[in-house]
Amino acid sequence: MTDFPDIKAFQSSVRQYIKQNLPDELRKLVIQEKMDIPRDLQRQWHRILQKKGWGCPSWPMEYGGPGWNDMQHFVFEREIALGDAPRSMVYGVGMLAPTIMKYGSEAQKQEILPRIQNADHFWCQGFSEPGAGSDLASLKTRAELDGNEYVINGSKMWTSEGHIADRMFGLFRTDSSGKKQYGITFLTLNMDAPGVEVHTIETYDGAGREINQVFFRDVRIPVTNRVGEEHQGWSIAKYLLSLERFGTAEVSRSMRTLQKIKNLARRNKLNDFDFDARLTRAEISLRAVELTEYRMLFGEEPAGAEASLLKLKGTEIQNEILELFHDAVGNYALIDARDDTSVDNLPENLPEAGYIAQAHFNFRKTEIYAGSSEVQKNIIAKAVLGI
Amino acid sequence: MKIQSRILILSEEQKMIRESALRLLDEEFPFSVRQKLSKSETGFDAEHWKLFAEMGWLGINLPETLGGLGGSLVDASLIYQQMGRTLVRSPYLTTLTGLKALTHFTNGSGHTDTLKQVVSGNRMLTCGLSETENPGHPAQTRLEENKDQWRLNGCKRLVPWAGQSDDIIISAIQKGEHYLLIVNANSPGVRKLPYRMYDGSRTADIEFSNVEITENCILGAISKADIQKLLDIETAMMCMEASACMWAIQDQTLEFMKTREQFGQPLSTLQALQHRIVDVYVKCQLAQSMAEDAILAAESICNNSDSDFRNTKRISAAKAFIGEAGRFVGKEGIQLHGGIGMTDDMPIGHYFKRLTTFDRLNGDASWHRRRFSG
Ligand SMILES: Cc1cc2nc3c(=O)[nH]c(=O)nc-3n(C[C@H](O)[C@H](O)[C@H](O)COP(=O)(O)OP(=O)(O)OC[C@H]3O[C@@H](n4cnc5c(N)ncnc54)[C@H](O)[C@@H]3O)c2cc1C
Repeated sequence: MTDFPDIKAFQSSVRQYIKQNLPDELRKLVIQEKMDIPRDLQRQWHRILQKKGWGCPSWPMEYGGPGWNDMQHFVFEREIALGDAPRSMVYGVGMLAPTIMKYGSEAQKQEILPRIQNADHFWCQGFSEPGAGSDLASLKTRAELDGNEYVINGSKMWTSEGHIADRMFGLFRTDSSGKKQYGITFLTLNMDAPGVEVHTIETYDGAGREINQVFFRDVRIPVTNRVGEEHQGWSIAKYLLSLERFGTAEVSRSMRTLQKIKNLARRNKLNDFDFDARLTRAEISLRAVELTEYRMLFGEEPAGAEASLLKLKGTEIQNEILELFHDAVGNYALIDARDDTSVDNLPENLPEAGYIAQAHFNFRKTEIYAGSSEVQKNIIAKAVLGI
Repeated sequence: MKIQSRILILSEEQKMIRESALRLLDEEFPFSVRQKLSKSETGFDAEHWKLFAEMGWLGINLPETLGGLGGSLVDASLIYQQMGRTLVRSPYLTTLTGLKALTHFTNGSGHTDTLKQVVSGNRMLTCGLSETENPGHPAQTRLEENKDQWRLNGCKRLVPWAGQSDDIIISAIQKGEHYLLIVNANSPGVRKLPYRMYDGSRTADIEFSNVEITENCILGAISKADIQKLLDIETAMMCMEASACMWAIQDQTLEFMKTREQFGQPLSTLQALQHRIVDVYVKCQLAQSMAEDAILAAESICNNSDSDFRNTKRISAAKAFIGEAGRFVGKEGIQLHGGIGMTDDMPIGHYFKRLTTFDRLNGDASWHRRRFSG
């Protein structure tokens, strides 16, 4: 980090602030890898950060962000993860806001950005559908123009946090006559509009409410909720998805998990050379991803599609590390953390057993969402290797 | 895909056992029923248990004189294999182990009544032989004589279905020697700490504080090697179950790939994914071979009183291999399903949880590798 002389001071001020201000209740949920962090707590934390102007770390100054350079942003995210603070509100702060800054009208900027910044509105992302996952452009949920309103019918699938969101941004089919990428329109809507229905999808790990299917029956939204031109939403979506590429590697979170395993292994796994070898191998692999991320962020040429490999390898190693954690906890990791009696009965020195299996099972998702591992490989093959 | 036996040569009668088990389990335990059971209070219901008893499954390895069918370990493993395929969670395996432990001593003659009640499904029996993650680790639970009275003190961990059992067979130590005891689970001084497990089964830690033990409940002294044998037989049974879980994942994933379309074509037409499901298939074949070898090794352990360490190694090799292969196949199954693989309504994740559990119980892959090479 020699190119950034002041960064050490910055880093310790962030670390200090997190340590002093992160509510215990929230820290506990994050340590337990909980997915269903209550809305109030998320909001409370966002506002604590916002007091320092850090609530929206990627935003430029003109929109009220801290205007950090890449290095500051990078260090900030690392400290957040190592300090057991929750992930920032990805859909509003991380995805929609930069998209609105680039493609939104003046009125949309005025309307949307301050409410994200103050955590008044929680957002969710309505892209995937039952029939449109990896092949996102084949989406079918219709938005038909009727006077100065769009009328939406169909459904969105896998919508994370759909049950706590106030608003959704999504992709809707406004024309199906041409190529599938054409005729997609980027719209925002109110989740309590008449005709919107949210059904939770239970996951096999039992991680609580996380994903949903959202149904639309004749949902009417004003035409002013459209971002960009009609039928031209695909390029906006591509821009939005490209914003995901760095954060999803979650290198810093994995570093934190490694620390936790080492703590536990000191208690639990003495003299298991096999385990030690696996742990060391994982640590070295993570280091390889960490260094590559660093190189791609701060190297001579900024990375483009190559950054796909960070998502690919970052989530792979993340799952490997969680599996190791699970194994380090031992057989008590097999108890079902959804059952309070079971958790209460656990031996006192093994609090990890109350959450690790759930995290291990739940995080399989990271190789599926935000562009599955296979999709990332397709991107690298096509866009990087040119085959 | 039909499970083809390659090492095991099955008689016509054994094939019938297998087919009828599959038919009955398929009928009685559709996915919706399994889901309901695993979320229920006890994890299993008495009606199904009665049915197992009526089929003769509980007494399958017992001589006819004790109300059993006089069948072999392989016979039992064919039933348990199908329970793996249909992902049925029940105290079946631990009951069989308990019965084996009980009959280890003079054919259980002092306890014929208990035996008969267990076989007829009227009494629930389980077995707690390990106290740590190392199977067969010497027991810390102590049997002590105090003024002509036997007392039991200690703790057994994660005993399968102990919360649902009437009797528990455990190992305890007295003056440096191991004994097997049968303890009434509701005796004063027995405390159960029940757990619901991720795979839908139930276990409990059992604490014994000054539990009064009558002479009759002390089954006899048992060597560490004999305790290990009981565990090895159980482990071989689990291998048959787990390899059947793997096949189920293979089948369901392949079927899914043929029907799920993205980019205007079924996933099964994408070569990158074809290779992935082929890898899964290959692991299933290898695991199947290992499981069959393990059950044959276990059968010769059952039939010979002398211990042959080669049999133990065959079982450890299978457990280590299937432990890893099973987790691999589970993860691939979910990944190839995409988002739908993450849902509670699809069996795939539940098979993965079971295979993860399998890898840990009775010694994990790392433990069995050490034993194999040792
Ligand atoms: C927990 C979770 C949260 C999510 N949150 C959201 C959200 O908030 N908003 C949202 O819009 N979506 C969300 N998603 C959806 C996610 O983006 C999709 O699951 C993902 O795009 C994969 O689509 P699919 O599930 O339809 O799988 P499919 O596309 O059907 O893929 C099935 C399998 O086939 C592979 N595959 C598909 N096509 C190819 C190909 N051409 N070459 C090689 N392999 C291929 C895939 O990689 C996968 O392994 C979420 C998903 C999960 C699991």
